[in-house]
Amino acid sequence: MNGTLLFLALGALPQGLVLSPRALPPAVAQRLTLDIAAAKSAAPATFSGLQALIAQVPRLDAQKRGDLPTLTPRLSRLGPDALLPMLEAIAFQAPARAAWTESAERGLRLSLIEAAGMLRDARAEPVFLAILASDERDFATLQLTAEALGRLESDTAVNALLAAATTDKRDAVLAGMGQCRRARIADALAIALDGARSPAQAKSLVRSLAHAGNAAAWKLGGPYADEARAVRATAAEALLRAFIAYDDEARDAASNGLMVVDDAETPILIARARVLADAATAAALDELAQRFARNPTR
Amino acid sequence: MPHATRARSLLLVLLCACVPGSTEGTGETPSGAMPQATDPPIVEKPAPRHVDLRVDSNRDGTIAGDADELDEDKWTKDRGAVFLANLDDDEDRCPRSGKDATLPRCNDAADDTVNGADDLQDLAPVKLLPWANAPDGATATIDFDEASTPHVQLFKKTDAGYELWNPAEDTLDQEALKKGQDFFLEATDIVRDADVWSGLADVTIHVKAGGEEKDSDTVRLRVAPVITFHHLLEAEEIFATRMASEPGVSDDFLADLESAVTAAGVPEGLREIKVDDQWTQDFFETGYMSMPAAGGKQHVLYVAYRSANQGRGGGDLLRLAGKFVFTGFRGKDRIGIQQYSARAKPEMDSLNSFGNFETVPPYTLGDERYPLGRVLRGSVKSWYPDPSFTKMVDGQKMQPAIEVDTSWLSVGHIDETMSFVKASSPRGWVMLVNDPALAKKLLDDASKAGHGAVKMFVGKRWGWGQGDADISIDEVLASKEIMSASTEAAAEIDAQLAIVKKATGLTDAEIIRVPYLHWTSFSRSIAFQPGTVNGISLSDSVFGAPDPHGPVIGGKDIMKDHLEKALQAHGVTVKWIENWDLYHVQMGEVHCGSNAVRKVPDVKWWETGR
Repeated sequence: MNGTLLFLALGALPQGLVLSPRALPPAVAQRLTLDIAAAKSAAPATFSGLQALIAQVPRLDAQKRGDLPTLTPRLSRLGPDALLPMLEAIAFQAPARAAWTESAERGLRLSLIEAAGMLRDARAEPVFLAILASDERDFATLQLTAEALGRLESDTAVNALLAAATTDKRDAVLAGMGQCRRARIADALAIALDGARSPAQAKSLVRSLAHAGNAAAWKLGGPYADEARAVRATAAEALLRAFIAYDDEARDAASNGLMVVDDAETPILIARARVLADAATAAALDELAQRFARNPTR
Repeated sequence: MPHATRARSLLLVLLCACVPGSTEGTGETPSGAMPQATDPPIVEKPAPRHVDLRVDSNRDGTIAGDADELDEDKWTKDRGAVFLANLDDDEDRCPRSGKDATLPRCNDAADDTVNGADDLQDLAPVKLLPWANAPDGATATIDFDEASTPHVQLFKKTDAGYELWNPAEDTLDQEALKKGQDFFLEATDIVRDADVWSGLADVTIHVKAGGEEKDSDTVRLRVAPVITFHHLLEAEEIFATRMASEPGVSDDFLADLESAVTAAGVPEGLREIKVDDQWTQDFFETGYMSMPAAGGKQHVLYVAYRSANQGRGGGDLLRLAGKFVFTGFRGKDRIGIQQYSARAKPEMDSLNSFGNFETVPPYTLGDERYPLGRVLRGSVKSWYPDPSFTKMVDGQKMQPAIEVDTSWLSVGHIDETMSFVKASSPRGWVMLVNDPALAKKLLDDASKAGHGAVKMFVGKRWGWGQGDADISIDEVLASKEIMSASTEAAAEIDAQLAIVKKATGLTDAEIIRVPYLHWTSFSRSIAFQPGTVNGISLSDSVFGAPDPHGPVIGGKDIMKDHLEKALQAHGVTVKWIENWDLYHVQMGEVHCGSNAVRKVPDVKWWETGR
């Protein structure tokens, strides 16, 4: 199939669950279409397996415990071969879902994005980029897309996330981009946290920054392991500033974040901050220092 | 007693104390009798000089003699009468199906009659003593204070039965005042909003003659609060769902649960609820209300709150399975109650499930006593359950809530991380707390000992055959998702624990750390391994917990082994229950799938000072 014919074929393709294939760069759409077709031919069981799993969503929705049915654990355990079937469902051909409830459809959309992101496969990058660049305004969809893109940790992902964080999608992107464990991301989150408009937003940013600096994740290495020290230091410093700035949920979240980041410099940072602190804050800092000394995450 | 001086009432008590026969009452009348109606008439000696209403102010379960007179218009820790919200269905008249709006409207307080002998037992007696010196031409009215008026009903005993008293129209004449009169009081509801009605009811009789008020007397009662059961109380009946449309999927879970229930010797055993909602813990919460009965006993009405969940299961508004509180639970001495706000935030709806409503067992901390325990919920300023439901629970005033942050959890329930079991310790109980860091350590140790290739979840699947769940210890330890989520969960749980420790004074020695890891769904945390904290206390010595499914090393499941040893030290045996398919993969465990009616504690709420 030559490029023109393929492009025409793409024009006739049905809509994906989250995205139209036309939202992808033509070359990317062509390549993914071919990859999907090849995978479907080579390993049809993975596609039929995903379809069978998706067919369970109405039942999962009826039996859900939380607010939405989730497939994330199941999908993420299907392994790397499940990426293309998931991308097909997200961007090329939405699965049949007659008479689905809104929560069933929403649960599937979010599960597919989240699970595809957890596979950390660069082939998904253009799909996540396209969702981020689309007209999508649903907070959870954007947050999970930012997380999914962030997990790839590529320079392209970093640039796209930082760009999206300056748009009207800012809050959702900031909430999700902490999964991108890169120095520039941590810097941006720290700045955003310093300028948070409310305790609730601060809490969201604290959690995102804690993801970025998560000591356990860094211990498992990765392509940008050389940025570990910078990310964790930036996170620790910003989290401590938030701890001092707030006295509510955001402070509690900052305390938890400092435990998660577990940066070695934290006791020194606390001691320095204590010098200038008022009595109440000093007492809170003392408690924080004690908590860090017995850090529950270790 | 607005008109009478304290000195006058004390004088009357002293006078009567010298009269033979003015003693306290006898034991509680057997069910089915009409005890208040058959009590011997009180003979006043000397003839009272004022109109005199009596209630069971001294809380001995009867009105006799003058021991009820002192401070009858007050309600304190030591004195004050109690009445019940008569919301049960003693004669099984209420429908077993209906709409959310109409189902709660049927109950024994919803009509203008006394519904038989059993119903009479649920009413509090109010006696007008014979008043031989009632003024000529006297008439009397009886009314209630403004706040309680919409919430109380008074019945007048007649030769033919019982008549609903209309405070605006009904009167007693001089003859009736001379003879005395028996009344019975019920509340038509529990306290929903203490700012609107605190639960206190002042009943006042006004006597007029010659166009002026000659006398009056007031008695005060308090409606019994709803008290939820804590985990230490013996289970009397266990509930669990059998899925109505697919009964077979519940088989494994129910078989194991029934076995554990039998081992625990639960008197009423396991009762199956046939609905398509396996989250039996979530759609109702059990408790009770009580008033004093003769012989130092309590007359008890059992209560099931319906969850304020909305839009689940195809109900007309509220969670469909929650109708059980009216269609399956309500009956003689059993009450269903629902409370919700249509404006509650849908994104926080999961917090309304009762997996997010536990009761910390009784304790004392410093000068503060909590003899009925305290409610424990996930609720913070930015993420909270239905405020109208919270207001109702707070309005009961008996078990002030401890609130922790569960907003980091995908489901958001407190039972995902904390539970309680009886213990051979001075406090009498210990707390079970999830410890993801401990789980990682156990797996790390196993890996370092050369068992990294040992699989967990062997033979289990994530979704009806679509994904093999088998995973090795080393794979788990290498998972960025699991390790990072578990680290974050460890910090969050530690913060929860700090709040509970501060509120209760629990020491580290009173905390059992329970190992399991977390991972992520929709950016929030869920248990990766079956959450073994999330079990049910079936008796003093049996705890039913989800089978963690490994890893098995040297013939032992190291996760099971850890919990078994920790609880064994307190005389508690763990019964393992299979819940992988129906519960764990759908983000819940044994506790989420079960419920219990428990034994009412000997502690009397009216003596708690709350």
